[in-house]
Amino acid sequence: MSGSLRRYAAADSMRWRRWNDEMVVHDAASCTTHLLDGGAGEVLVSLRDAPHALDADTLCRRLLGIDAPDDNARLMLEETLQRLAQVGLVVAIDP
Amino acid sequence: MKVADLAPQALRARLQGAGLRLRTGPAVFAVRSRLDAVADGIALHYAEHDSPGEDTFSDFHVSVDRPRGLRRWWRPQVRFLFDGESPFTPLPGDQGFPMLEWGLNWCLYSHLHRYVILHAAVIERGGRALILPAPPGSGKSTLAAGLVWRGWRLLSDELTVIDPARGDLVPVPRPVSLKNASIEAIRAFAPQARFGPVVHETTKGSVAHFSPPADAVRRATERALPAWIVLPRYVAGAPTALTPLSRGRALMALVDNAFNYNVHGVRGFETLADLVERCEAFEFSYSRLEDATALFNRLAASAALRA
Repeated sequence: MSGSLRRYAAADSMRWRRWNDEMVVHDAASCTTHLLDGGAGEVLVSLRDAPHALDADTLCRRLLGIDAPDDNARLMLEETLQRLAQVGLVVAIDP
Repeated sequence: MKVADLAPQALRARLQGAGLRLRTGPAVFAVRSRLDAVADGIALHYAEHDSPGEDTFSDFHVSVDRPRGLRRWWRPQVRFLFDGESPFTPLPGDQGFPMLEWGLNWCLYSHLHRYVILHAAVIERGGRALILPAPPGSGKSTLAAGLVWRGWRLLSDELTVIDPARGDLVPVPRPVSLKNASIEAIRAFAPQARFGPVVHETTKGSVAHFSPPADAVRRATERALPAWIVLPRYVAGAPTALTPLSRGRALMALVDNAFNYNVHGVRGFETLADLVERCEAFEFSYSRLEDATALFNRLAASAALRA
């Protein structure tokens, strides 16, 4: 899939608070604030903690801790990344 | 000097001269007006407020008067001026006092950016503040008014003013604005409330103000720490129900109801997030004010016992 070639990075200008299964993220660059569910929060934190941009497959393996994530998991991750990219919290980098 | 210490003629002379100085919470206004409704409204509702001398620095210079020309006589209008400029469309001639109140609110939330300011009523009991952020029509002012007449101190019925450096809340006790059916509801609930005249056919329907309790004005420099965030909703016939609200949703509600969040940027986010972490948060629906006030009094008593 094309998504496996595309890499993703977290936006530089974020501040956040996490409570239980929620995360509120403030993006200083756009001065917008977003409420994320726990899954989207995990994705964002993983990207933020990574030393460089990650492709979806690598990110999926890191998040799930398994070598071969199934298609369903990859699809859910792609959808989450697209949602985060749409609101500017994640930057998609095409190859 | 308090406004009540001024004789009626002296009050009018100041309003028609250099401007009546009026201290309301963290700001001093210089108010000018030739309108009887404004003079009468200030005499009634600001009687306990401090009115410093004319040499006192004023944060805002405002006036409410009739425009020049035909509109002075033909379908008379009133207009609000801030530093000589008119930020609002003129209103019908009998809306002078409500226009002054809306204008003072606008001055505060549009310019007082050393604070983060929410569109929320805020009241306090036992040193703990209850913040009621909500859009117009949700019943927030009615609930706050009810609690004010059942032992809570009014900080504001419209503006929650947060000091980002300290995380506490700055009182701005001013007349409480009620609309439509809420006016009679509070008259019946608190016969001791001092109401001004009802002004009909405003953009918000019928509007009336009641005077802030004297104790709230006397304690205007006494800040409060936030303890509860409650999103109120009046639902006709509904039972009283207090439901826990997640911190994430509480924070988003504060962001949505903030006037100057974007002005503060990251500091605004950190201020509101810190506030949420200090507080318990709930959604609240009600139809009977007596039940609602009893519930919040139990909540305050329970917090006092735990302390």
